[in-house]
Amino acid sequence: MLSLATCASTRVSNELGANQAGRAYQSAYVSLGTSTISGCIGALVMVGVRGVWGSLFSHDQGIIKGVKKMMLLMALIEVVNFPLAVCGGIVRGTARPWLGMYANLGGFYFLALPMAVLLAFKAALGLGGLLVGFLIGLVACLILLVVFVVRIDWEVEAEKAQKLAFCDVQEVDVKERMNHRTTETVDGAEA
Amino acid sequence: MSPPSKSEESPIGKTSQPPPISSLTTRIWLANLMQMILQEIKTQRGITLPLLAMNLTWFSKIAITTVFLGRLGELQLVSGTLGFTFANVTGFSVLNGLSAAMEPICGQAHGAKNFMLLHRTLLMVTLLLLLATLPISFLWLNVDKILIHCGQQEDVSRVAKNYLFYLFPDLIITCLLCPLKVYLSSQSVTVPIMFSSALGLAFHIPINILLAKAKGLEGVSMAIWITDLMVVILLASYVLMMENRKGGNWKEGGWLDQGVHDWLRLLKLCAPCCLTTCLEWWCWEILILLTGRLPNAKQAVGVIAIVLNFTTCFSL
Repeated sequence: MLSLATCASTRVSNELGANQAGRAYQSAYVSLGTSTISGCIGALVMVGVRGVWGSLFSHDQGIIKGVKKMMLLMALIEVVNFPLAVCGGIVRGTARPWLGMYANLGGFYFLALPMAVLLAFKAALGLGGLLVGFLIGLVACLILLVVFVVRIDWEVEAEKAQKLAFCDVQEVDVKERMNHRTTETVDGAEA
Repeated sequence: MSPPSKSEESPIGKTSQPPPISSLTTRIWLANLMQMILQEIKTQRGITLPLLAMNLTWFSKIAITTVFLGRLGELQLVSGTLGFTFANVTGFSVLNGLSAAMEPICGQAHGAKNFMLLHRTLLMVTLLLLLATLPISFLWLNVDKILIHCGQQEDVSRVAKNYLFYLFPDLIITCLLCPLKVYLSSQSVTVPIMFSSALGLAFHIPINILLAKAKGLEGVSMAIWITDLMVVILLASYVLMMENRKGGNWKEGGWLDQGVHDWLRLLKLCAPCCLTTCLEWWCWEILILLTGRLPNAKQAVGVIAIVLNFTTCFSL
């Protein structure tokens, strides 16, 4: 998850810096796809081993049963968690990390925690309630971030990245861009 | 994949001209798309897998440390784990979050081939992290008071403080390590990070055996920063070599000419990056705290601990 997020942010920021809006867009969506798939695989693994995992750590029958139930909920949380981390990486790659911060703040602190407390203590659902609350918060967070990512105007971001990367080297700016163009064509020829 | 093949077969019967052309273009378009996706996945695999291995070494290191703490005795295990959790929440999460702000700047600078900006950002972030250690170290020096205030037993708190005191160099080493890692990974160079972390891990066990015998708890805590120091030296020498070799970027310079606007921009990115990391991290800690308040707390905490144990594998 962490490595996927770092990878997404690296790819997106590299392409944006190279003024390749289209490639940045492709990288972002491919990494989103990969993360969704790995999230689903992870969840399936979790569902698969949920019977064995508890008994590795404890002999208490109650705990083993609880683990078996909670692993199902946790698997759902993981399905959301993977794309969430990658969305955070994409948003960071476009140099607008505050979007991720707002989504996290809204999802985790204004929705997940209150919902968890409500479900667990008011509705007396116990640990399951806590996790369902978290799941709701995470889904909201993911929806927010996906909307942010979908609404990214990649051309504008690439322009901004050019400004960010060149704002202080005005005199070499043109020369470097020219250099960069030539290396790009060389790259293209190799590929 | 299935819709285009259907549309490919249907026009044969109709023998009308436009559909085959459109199906041909969709097929070419699809083939191009698949090729693009495969290319991208290949590139991303090259970045992700070494990072995955690096994170794996990080988790193994924690596991090894816990094993050696456990061999020293119950009190050492409890206080060491407590101290390490405290160090993570107050120190390493903040440093990691702050250095994440480097990613967009360095990544975009690398894409734009502006090596001066890359160099400058590396130095600036290292300085910033060193500055951030000042308040953190103040917290660490008073950890015993904080823990006792939170209701911990006195002997546990005192041992935890001792552990943190010997972990202190790791705070400064992490300030050098995190920016170096991001500096390399934002240039899509991740294999050296993997190799240096793996080498560090290989030395972690012998160093632990030696130091745990000689100095006990303090030795285990010292082993953590000694291996980190090795990784920093390896990575730093790799960066120096890479920049100084033929066609390297050392001569581009730009290490020191930092303006006020550079700092402002970095700080503007740092705050949200750090907060994002910390907010998420703390939220999960709050979940565990909340679990402790459930009616059947003992069982619930056991369940959540075991379940979260599994999910840490995914956070790699």
